[in-house]
Amino acid sequence: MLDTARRVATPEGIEITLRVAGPVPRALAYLLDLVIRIVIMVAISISVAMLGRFGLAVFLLSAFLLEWLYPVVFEVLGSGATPGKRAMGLIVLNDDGTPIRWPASLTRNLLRALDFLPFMYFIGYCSMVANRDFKRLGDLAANTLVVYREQKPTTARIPEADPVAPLLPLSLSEQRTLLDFAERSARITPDRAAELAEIISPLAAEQNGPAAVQHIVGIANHLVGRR
Amino acid sequence: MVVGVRPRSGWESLDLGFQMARQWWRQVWGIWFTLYLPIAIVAMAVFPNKFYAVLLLWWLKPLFDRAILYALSRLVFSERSGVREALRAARDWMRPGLFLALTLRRFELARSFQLPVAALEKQNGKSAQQRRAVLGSRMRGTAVWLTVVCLHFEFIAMGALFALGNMLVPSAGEIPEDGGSSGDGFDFSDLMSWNLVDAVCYAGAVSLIEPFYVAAGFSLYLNRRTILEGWDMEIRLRQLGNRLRSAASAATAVLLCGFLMIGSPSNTTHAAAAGPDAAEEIERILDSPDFDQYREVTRWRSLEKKKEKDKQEPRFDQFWRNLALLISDMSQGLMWVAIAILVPLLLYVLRNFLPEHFTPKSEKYEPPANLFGLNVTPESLPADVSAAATQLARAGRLREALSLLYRGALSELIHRYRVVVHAGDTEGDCTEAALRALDKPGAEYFTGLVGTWQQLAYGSTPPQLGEVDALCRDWALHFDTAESPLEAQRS
Repeated sequence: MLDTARRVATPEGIEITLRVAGPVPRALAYLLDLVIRIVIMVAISISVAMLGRFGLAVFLLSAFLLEWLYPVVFEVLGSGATPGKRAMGLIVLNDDGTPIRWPASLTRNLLRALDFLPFMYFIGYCSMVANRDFKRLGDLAANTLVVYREQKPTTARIPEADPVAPLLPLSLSEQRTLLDFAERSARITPDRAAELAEIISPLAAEQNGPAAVQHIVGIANHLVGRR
Repeated sequence: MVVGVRPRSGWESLDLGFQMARQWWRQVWGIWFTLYLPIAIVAMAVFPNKFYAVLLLWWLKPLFDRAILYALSRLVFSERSGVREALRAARDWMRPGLFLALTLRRFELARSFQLPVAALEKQNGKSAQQRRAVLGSRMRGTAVWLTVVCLHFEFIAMGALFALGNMLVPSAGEIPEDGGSSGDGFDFSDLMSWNLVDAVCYAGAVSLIEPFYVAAGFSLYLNRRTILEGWDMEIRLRQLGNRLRSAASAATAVLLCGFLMIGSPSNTTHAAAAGPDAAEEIERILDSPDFDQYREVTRWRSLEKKKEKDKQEPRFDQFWRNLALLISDMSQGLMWVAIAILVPLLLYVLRNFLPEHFTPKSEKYEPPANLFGLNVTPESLPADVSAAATQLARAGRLREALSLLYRGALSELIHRYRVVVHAGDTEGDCTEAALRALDKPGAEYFTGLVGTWQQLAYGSTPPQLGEVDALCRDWALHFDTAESPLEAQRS
């Protein structure tokens, strides 16, 4: 099964899913960071413009530090994301899903020099699209992953209906399927919803059309405890 | 569907598209190059100014895209789709809307996302327009971003390939005097006149990016339909539906077995309860190929034996034979039940006896030679501990005197009183063990000795000379008996 989700088991025996992020969102995140860095550099250059050769030294030093340490500082101290990554909902993690520390972050960001070659991250791009986990060379060296930040789970809004008890015992995943269906049934076309509901007609008391949908929504209401 | 289906965010579905192109890179780039290379070679050979060749190649992108999309749409549903299949189906993927795609819609910003509407759904005109509006209502922004980013990827790839060429070609390091096509004198005619290297770099860059662009757009389209039509739910609902149906048929099968076993007419009411079409259902299921099993077996057989068997057959009375078989079956069943009960029982009973056989023999007790740094072997002690200690005390070597008494006492305890002490035991452990073994005055004496010793050894508080003298004197009373206390008790 081709998917961008990677399952990682923690030492506590809990399985977490990491959704690796590909070149397009990462390029946009990089672009945002680049813009932020340029704005900071312009601000510094304006403020030290009057200081002559000393001002030039300050500018060059801060340019060096900003270029090399901006991502490292944000990734380690800013819970794994530079402002650009944060805006794109991305986060850098170790391969095993743990937060990234200084050595890994330094490795992956200092290797940008290699990924950048020969022009604007071309090698990084080639490495990313050739890799199962979208790793550029820096990620490969540091064993890091760029993944999507886990969103807060939204509470299911299940439309109200007369609760109906299911005829058969249902497993947990099957109950989830029914809840999912009830939640999304309002957003898909009625015909399609009926078609989907008729797949499980034995559960829908062999009804057809909107009645079947209504019946399943009723079962979902029963499952969430509106009895 | 060999692709994980679930409602994804826009960016995530783009990533899935990149993975699709990576996964099926043989087919995707196979098709891409079989179409793109000939056209590119011809175009570059025909036009002296390669800019026009590049323009043509750029303009024809939707044509190549459609071929890749065709292959991907088959591969996603695990149908074979290589170069040959895609070329054979060229008529299929070229229609409809190729002309529009190459003219008016060439500048569409969400091109790869909207491509499947015409190329796969075969929608045309107004219906296609409505369909695009429905699909694009949420994901169009992401699709446009995809186009913009991929366009920049192409520029970058082109620049990178150009730079790579310059790095690797030795003569390219020298800047030509007259200024080439990429010289510093920048004017419009320069922009319009490309040389072959530029054009090849362009073609290479497009070949690196375009298939990913198409796959990402297709993946975005799939995701949009997944959300709109609940594809992921359909898969899970089908699983549930299959389970429900198999559960229902299993229930009828159990009922059916019941009828066959009992076979009494009084059970027909149950059959009615199971529904009138249950029988039909059973018939249908049993008719399905799943329940058929044909096997052709060729074997040699002796004809004579068969004849003998045929002759013997009538001798057996059918009734008795069946009864014998029944009894044999039943007894076999009973035997297995008995084994199932007896074996665990036997194991349970044996379990109570087993540990004794398996407990390791306790190691033979060896009295330790050293206890907390003191040598307590009888050989290391003088024959008369009491006298030796008194001498030492008189000489003012109180520490040595007390140490000797203490060692002597421990040695006596270990070797004569048979107090079990291990090498790792602490002073406290030893004292406790000693007190248990000694009689009351002995115990009092021993605690006094240990106390004084500890005061001196750890507290650096030297005891009175008289105290030490008394300890030396009394030592012989409690420890230096001619015979062991055990023997004394016995006598």
